[in-house]
Amino acid sequence: MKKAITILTLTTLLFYACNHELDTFNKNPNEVESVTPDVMLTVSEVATFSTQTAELAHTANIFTQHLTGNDGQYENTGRYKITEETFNNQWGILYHDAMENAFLIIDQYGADNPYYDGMAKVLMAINLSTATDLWNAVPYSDAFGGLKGNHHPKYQKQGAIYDEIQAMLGEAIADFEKSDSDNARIPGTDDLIFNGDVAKWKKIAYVLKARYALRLTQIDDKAAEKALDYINRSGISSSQDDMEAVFDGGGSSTNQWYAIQKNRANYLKMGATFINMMRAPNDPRLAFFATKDDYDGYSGSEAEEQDKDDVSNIGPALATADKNLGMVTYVEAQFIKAEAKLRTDDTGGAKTAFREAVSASVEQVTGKAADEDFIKRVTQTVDLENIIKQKYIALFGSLEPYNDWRRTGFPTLKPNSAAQTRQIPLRLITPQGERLYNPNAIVVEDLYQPVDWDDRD
Amino acid sequence: MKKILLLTLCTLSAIDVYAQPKAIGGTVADQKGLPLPGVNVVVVGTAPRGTSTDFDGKYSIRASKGEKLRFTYVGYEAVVVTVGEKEVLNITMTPAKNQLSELVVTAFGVKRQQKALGYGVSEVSADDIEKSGERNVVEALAAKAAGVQVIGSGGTPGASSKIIIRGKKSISLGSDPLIIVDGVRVNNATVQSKAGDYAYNKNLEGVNASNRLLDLNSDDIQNVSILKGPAAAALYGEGAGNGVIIYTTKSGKKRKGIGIDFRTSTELATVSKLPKLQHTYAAGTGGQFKAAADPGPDKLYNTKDDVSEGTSDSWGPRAAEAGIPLYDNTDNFFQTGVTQSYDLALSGGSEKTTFRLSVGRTEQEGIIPNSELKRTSIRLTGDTDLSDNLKMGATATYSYTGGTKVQNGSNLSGIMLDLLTTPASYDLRDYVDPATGFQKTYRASHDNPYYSAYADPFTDEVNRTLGSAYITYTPKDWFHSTLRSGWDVYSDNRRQVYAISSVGDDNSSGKGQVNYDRILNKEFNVNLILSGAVPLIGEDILNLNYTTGLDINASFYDEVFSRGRNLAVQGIYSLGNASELYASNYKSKKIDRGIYAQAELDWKDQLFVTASGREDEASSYDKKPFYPAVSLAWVASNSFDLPAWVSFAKLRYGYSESGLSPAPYSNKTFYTASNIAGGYTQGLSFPYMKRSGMGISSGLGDPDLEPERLLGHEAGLELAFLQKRVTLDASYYYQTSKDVLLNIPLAASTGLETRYTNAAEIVNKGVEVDLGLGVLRNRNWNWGTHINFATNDNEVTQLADGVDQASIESAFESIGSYAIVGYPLGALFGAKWKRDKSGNLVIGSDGLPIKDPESGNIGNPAPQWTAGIQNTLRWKNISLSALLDIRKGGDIHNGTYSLLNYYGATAESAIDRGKSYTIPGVKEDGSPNDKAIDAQTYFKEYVGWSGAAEQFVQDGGWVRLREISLAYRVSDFSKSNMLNFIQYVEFSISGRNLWLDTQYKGVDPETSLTGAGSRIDGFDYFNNPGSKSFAFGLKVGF
Repeated sequence: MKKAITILTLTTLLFYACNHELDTFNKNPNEVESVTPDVMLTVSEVATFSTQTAELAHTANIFTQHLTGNDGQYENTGRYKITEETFNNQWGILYHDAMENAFLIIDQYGADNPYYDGMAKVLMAINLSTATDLWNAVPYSDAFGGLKGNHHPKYQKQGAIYDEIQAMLGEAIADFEKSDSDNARIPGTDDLIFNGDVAKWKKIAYVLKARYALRLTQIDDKAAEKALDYINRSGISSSQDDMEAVFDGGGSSTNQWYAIQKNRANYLKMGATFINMMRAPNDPRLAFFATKDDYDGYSGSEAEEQDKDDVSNIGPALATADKNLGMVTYVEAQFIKAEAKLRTDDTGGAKTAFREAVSASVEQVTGKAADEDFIKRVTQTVDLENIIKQKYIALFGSLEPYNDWRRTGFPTLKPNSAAQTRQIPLRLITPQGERLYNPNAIVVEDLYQPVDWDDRD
Repeated sequence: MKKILLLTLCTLSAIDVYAQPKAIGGTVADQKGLPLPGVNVVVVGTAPRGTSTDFDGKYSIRASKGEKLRFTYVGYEAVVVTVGEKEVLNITMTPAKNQLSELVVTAFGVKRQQKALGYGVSEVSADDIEKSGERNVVEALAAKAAGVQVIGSGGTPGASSKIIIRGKKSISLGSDPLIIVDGVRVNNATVQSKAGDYAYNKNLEGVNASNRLLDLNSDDIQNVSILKGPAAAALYGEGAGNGVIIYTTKSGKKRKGIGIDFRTSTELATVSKLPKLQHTYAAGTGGQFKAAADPGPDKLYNTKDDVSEGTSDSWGPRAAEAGIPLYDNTDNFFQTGVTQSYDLALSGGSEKTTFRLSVGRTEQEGIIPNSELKRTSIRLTGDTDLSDNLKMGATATYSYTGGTKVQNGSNLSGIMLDLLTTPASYDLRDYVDPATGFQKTYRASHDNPYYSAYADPFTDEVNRTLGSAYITYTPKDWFHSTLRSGWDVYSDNRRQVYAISSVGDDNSSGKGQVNYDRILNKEFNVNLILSGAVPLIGEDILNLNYTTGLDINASFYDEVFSRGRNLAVQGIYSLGNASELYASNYKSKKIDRGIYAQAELDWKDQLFVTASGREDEASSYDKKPFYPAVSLAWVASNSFDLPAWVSFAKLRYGYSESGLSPAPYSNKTFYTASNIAGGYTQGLSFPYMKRSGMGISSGLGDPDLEPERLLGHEAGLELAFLQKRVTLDASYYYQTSKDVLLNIPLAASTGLETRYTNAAEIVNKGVEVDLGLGVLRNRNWNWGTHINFATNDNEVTQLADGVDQASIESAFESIGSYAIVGYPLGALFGAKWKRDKSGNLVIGSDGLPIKDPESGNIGNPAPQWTAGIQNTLRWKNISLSALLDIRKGGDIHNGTYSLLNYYGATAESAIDRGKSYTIPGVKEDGSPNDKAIDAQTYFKEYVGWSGAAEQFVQDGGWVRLREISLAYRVSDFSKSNMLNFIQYVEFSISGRNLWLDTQYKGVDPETSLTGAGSRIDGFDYFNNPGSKSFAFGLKVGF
């Protein structure tokens, strides 16, 4: 009987001994279930650095012939061979990393933290405009419902998206005008961009309003007027106010132009269109935008020329490990002002802004004040073509030249004639994830169906 | 259930056996030496009394000299012995005529008669394991059993092998079966080292990590039992959805003195198969020579003073005409790998106690320079009888497994990437600059493979102990109880270095990097088994065997990864030598508890009905799933008088359920330090400039998660003819995996990218046939053939509402392995060529086919069928055996081939470079293509890397001579006075993979880029090649 009791006791012990463990073992020691807005802001900002300066920017600059897709996967981009998988990841970075985190800041913490709310709205605006500029109709007001069970967001037309963008930037400006005491938490070093300086954020919000107003020149007669108004209200006064993607060259925070050049040498090469544009007027920025080629000069390859490794690489103004990159800048603001003034028939004002734009760019890129003669030479003609051409040079690396080219047709580009389609894409194909998993997606598989603001007729 | 268990225990009482003059004991075993449990032992005579053997076939009974002991066991001939002077009586029982009553090991180590089973169990013997010559006890199972597929990942020492039983059943939980060694769950994980901030699939690069069953010494294995279907595995409940493999190790036997077995072997391995490369053209493009990379005065590539970057292109001039010397780099590079192994085992025992002590040592040098594996294992097993009905025992192993691994696959320092793409005009052997220690290479962005092997080694050191202890109390035939407790603990200390100048580091910076990765894994297991035999009607009419028990498993995983970048001094790999430090860690723990019961009814030795159930609880989910099973076996040959040539006939059917439980922490949504992938760069991650960032994870958790359920039907037929010269065992199974967990993809515009929940359904159905032929049997000759054949038809029948496609694990942008409704799980999906209605390629104006904007199914990595044919021929003391392994189908995406064509490195790219190619197809207007392109364009854009992925999917089927061995054994030394201490001596010579026939244009198609730690198969992207070998062996027994 003793043995029976022993076995009985043992069994009972075994059976009840682990109840506590069954209940408690599933507490995750690795990840947290809730956070504060500061750590989310940092994620949204870094994701925005990625959307504005990495693969999408690489692609846009191939399309605009600043660069040539020379090797590897970018060789396909250079031939306009884009599939629905190509930008799945980038779409994910836009909607998940950049915008969902911004959305959660606004949704969960916005009311008590207007500064965070405003910053999140600015980041949302930048990324949402990137999405709509490349994909036209995209979801916004029905998006970001994953946590709440809305798994099939409806798409909105581009016009509606731009109304949302203007509205959220307006709200952001109102947020930034509030006082510190209206905030439960004040942003600081978690704001990698401006270290919590809301005055700068406010200026950028206005410049963005101007950028997005001017985007609609083809479909909105008042576009230039509005843009001019926003620029004037922005108060942006120098490159000190630039909103930059920040990098320090660390392994997890390396400039992505540098990284692509380092990791995938020759995937991207300088484009002949861009190099030639700078060579003739002896542009001092050339040595900063491009490296020397194999023959100690500067050269780019034509769109048709791929697998050509002896031409220039991307120069140190972009591809330096710890180089910050402008996302919304004083230079761009001056170009917007120049174009807006030109469009509102203020040629004199346009010229002033145009000269300031180019001088500021030269100074910013080369670190030296621009040579007066050079500025005079290149800004002599004040017309849309020349303004956009100079903007194309100054904003090398950003997504804006691709938008401007589609909007204005400048500069004139000769498509890669070796490409099957022989036409520069006018947009991107709906990402595979949207086609497959969102029955409400408006699927477009044609790279040549223009976006709504690109009114070609 | 709990109540029944307690009731059983309460009604228990202990009665001592009536004292007798002396204790007699021993082991009862079958002809193979496998112990028989539950054998009735009765003292025949005036005062009949009896006992029965325990789980290990041991018995103990008191009897006087002259009394007779009668041993009876269902299906075996009774044995009667008279008690003499000896106190140890070891009994060998032979199967009764017209019976196929071999014992097989089933769930929880319970040995059951094969004829009573309502499901199929495959057994692999120690001899089969030994003959394989494999050091990995997983790889050793290849082609040995129907329905058991083994996929090795390459021929480097310690490379992992994956095992898939009856097809893939799970999308997110992998295909690893449960591994049991001596009744205890053992870890067989394959863990790839990568930092927490790595944004891509870590299985795609790095080294071929080991699956941890590698730590087991194959010489310690007595027997392997593979429980393939859920019916066999149901008692294991939530862990058993992928089947169970039970390894039983050797134990001591009662014998006079101490037995010594010694074994040694020497194996010589060479590379088995490589892609065919051209040796005609030099480096360059368009026929123009291009010199190798020149790093300039600083001797470092990718720096400002670089003179040239070099090239991987072999589209240069004809070397002979240009006077450029060519080198056979692959031939120079690979070496003969030598493996030495030694095994020593001591065994013996007294009347009450037995033991076995074994020591094994293996030293393997790989076919790639500087790759090696060293393993030492020590195992001690002991059993002792404390009294007539109480015994205990324990087994414990310590093992050390360590070695040096080399880079594999898709990284810039991958051995094969660099070796195969190097133009033949560059001699790789001059790989290091002696003054600086920096590498010399042909292309600035790739590493020289010699430099990669010697300067970027991965070293690991695994210290592991596992074992178990048990105590068994067997007061009555109807009540046996065993309490067993086991442990499996290992630490894995890994180091990966990248020398300054190597571009293998995470950022390809060339600045040097060192990673330290420390893993501590602990698993504990307790189980209580109660069992017994109860005659219900008469002695031989209706008997009940029951088993019931409790099973608790707990596991703890703790990994700390640290990394140092930007090394100051070459060759010093301490974190102090790095200027940028990073660390990440991962911990998890899980516990589960199950109670189970099984009853087997045996009616007149003809009809066997088994029913069982198990209920589980686990920390990783909140449900209490119940897994029922029922099976039926009818031995028709015992019911009817069949013709004399039919020796045995049995029909069986089983239905059951088992499960696969979700990983810890997968039922919630968390915030994580995000990784923002850059496409072709390492991207951006956190901490970012010393700031933390935590964003919502891209995966939505489901609080109602439950284990996946595997519902299986299995029917079988077992026949034996002509005194069992011909045996046939055929099974058909239909297994449905329900509530399969998957990351349901969400459109990213929801803000999230996946939702992890129970949703999918997968069906596996197949046929397995085992055929045994005793072709020739006489005094001197014995020729036997054993054939196993299996098909498996897998189909994803459902994913989730609105979802008919889900990625299993990310692979490449152009091709991936997916779960797609209507296709086999893991089907290859990727870029296809655009075709017109009649299937012609649509050719663009540039003369090249156009890619279809939508991807499609382009292959299936699972084979259509597999077969193994084992022939064993024995003449007197000489035996010859050969195992032919056939795999029909099984697609592989040959990324190696695509890139080698692109670079003009393949032999086929050099056949005629002057030729112009007009690709057959139609132009977009429907007229036939007439645009010709040159060879370089053809090989780069069509049959090379830039082409659609479908172009590179190749048949990975094979016919191979997996094993062949010739052995000569001498065991009759009793006549010699000098040598009579020797029991046997055996010499052998054997070969592994000596012959391989395949259509695959690459390395040995038994290859896997992603290894056993991954859930996807069928990718070859510069995978390290397989090996073939000769081995010489010597075995001696004293």
